[in-house]
Amino acid sequence: MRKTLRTTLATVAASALFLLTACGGPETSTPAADGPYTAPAKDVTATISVSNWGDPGDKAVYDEVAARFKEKYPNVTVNNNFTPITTWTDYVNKLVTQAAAGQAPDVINIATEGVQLGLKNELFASLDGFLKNDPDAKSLQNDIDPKLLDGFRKDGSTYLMPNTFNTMVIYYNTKMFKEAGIQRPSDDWTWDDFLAIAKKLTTGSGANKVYGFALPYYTFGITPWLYSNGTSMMSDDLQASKLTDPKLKETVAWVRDLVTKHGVSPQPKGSDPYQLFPAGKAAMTGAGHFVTGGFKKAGFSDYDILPWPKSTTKATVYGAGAFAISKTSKNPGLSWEFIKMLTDQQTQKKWADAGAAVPSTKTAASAPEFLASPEHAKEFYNSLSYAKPVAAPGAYNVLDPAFMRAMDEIMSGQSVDSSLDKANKDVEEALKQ
Amino acid sequence: MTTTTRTNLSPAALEARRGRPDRLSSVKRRDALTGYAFTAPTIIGFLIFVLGPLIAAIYLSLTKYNILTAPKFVGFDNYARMFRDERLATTYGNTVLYVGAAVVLINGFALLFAVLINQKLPKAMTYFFRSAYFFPYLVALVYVSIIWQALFQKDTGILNYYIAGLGGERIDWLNSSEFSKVSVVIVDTWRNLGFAMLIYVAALQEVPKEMVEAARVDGANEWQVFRRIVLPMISQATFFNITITIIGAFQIYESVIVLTRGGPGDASRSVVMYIAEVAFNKFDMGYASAIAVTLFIIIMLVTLAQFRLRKSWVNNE
Repeated sequence: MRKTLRTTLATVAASALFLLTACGGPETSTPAADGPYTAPAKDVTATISVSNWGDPGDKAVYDEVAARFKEKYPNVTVNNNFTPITTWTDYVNKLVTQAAAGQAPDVINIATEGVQLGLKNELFASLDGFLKNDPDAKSLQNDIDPKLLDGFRKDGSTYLMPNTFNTMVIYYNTKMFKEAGIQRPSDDWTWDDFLAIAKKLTTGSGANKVYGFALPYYTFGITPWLYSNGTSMMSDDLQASKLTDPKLKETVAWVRDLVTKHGVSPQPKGSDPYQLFPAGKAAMTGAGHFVTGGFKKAGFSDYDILPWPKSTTKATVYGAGAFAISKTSKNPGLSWEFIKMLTDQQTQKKWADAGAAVPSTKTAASAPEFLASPEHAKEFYNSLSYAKPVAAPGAYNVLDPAFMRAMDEIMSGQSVDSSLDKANKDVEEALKQ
Repeated sequence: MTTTTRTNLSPAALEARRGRPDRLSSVKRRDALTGYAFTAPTIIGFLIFVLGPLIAAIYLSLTKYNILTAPKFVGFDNYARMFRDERLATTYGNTVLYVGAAVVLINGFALLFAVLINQKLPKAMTYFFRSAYFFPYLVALVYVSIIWQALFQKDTGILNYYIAGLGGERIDWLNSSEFSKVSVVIVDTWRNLGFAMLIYVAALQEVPKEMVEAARVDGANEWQVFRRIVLPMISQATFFNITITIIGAFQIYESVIVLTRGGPGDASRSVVMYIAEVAFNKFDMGYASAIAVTLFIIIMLVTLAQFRLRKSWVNNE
């Protein structure tokens, strides 16, 4: 569920941040587009504030970066505003309070889901000047899959630097596959193959019930089904809702049938796939890299990963975390130096070790430590090649709950058509705003 | 001596004795100021936390406001929009159902338990039952909801265990569109009946014993005593309880959010939850304020109607 929280927070953070800019005052210092880049002097005295969120593992990574930054710039105070994942309301309130106190953060951590909100409201400063003229940036940039950077561009300018990403892949229990005599399917497996395997692995009843597949039940987790059937919640330009697309309805009905018709998945409400799967109560599940940390901690290692099965298209979804400089920042140079540290190889390695996400650079994602487990860990980075970004328009804060409300209704037996039509109305109203 | 004293009085004191209005009013004024000072916390609290927001909400309901940019006046657009909002209709429908259930169930059970507690029982037992029924009102619902959710689970819940044991079909208490509402009503009733019960108990103890005795002597049976004597005698408590449960049920929020989060879909969502969603998730403050104003007006009208009807059935002082 970690991703859900992350994305919700991202959305909310972006929404709250408009307020920050509104209060930020007139001063804008965009970095020079031309001329050589010179890093701020080592003895510069200043304060920069950072807005981050996550769990204790994330916090450790951020704290380490702040400490490293302190070594480089001893006179710079870093206000490392870290919000532990509690509720999104808390995160908003915190940002609003900051804004009211005139302390808009210089460095903003946000995920794909919140980027459109920010870009639409001109929240971020362009990073072009830095990317073009800072030699460090060039090497870093060349190491990152262009796809990741594409998601953070608008009108040819780059606004955010990605640090990590997640794609959805299928996790399967290697031991259970072996016991049932099931071979690892090919990377081009289909929905039908998937369903056949899931049926074979669904056994027992009552307390001994084992399911073939534990359904990841949140927007990011359902999206791969849509993409692999050639549909999406939004049009490609993110301007129009496609919730009533017949292909989408067909996909949603298929996902529902996994639970209600075929019984290969438990009712998603009240069951956590990332508990069932490592407990051996489900033979497969879908997740990003973010679950591996928890599996490791629980001492669970009998698993491997597979690409998402396809119906018409081989596809999955990705979402990336990234850092931006606030347009109102008085210290864009220092903020840039801080972001570089947040995204450099040393930090990337920490991310990979923490098991929270896939590091954004190929170097870190191909380090032996990262590839050690599971067997096909390479697929984490490789899946990016056929992945599409999560469909997150500016109104994602409406789209996400509306879609999940419709899913809840559909799962409880209501009609696919009427549920999605209702959600569609809600989203269209929000897109008009 | 006395005359000397009198003549020695300062002119001001003399004026005071003669009852010059400005002197006296200064004393009065001080009294008045003291009075105001004592009531100030309440009045200031009311102005800041009730009247101010109320006026602001009425103003905002006529604007389009997303917190980030200044409110833009749009007249009655927000009110017109409500008529095409299916989700609002659903949530209002749910809320009316909750109000109806609260009035009937909370008051019915509260009265029943109050009458039972009011029987001749050992004192300790009376205290025990009274505390037991009142206890849910004191516990934070957020904690208790975890227990309720466990009770309501489809496959592992104790409720379904007994239903299945009796040969019934397992009910999906939390995730079916019909039963999610029922679950909310059950928890809401369980939580609030203790308070209403206490009011009824207090009223029952005020019913004059002589009157009951007299009725019995005249040959009235227990039901007739209850129907003709006790009920009219406690009608003020009934009126109070009904008013409070109606207002409370219109504002139902916590009981729903901790159990079902309004789901599945909007099946158990209340109007107040919907207002909160529009305001703090969609950041559509204007529309949220407009809905809030309609809810305010509805509650006010219902309460006014009750006070009007009061005369016809409440046994007055």
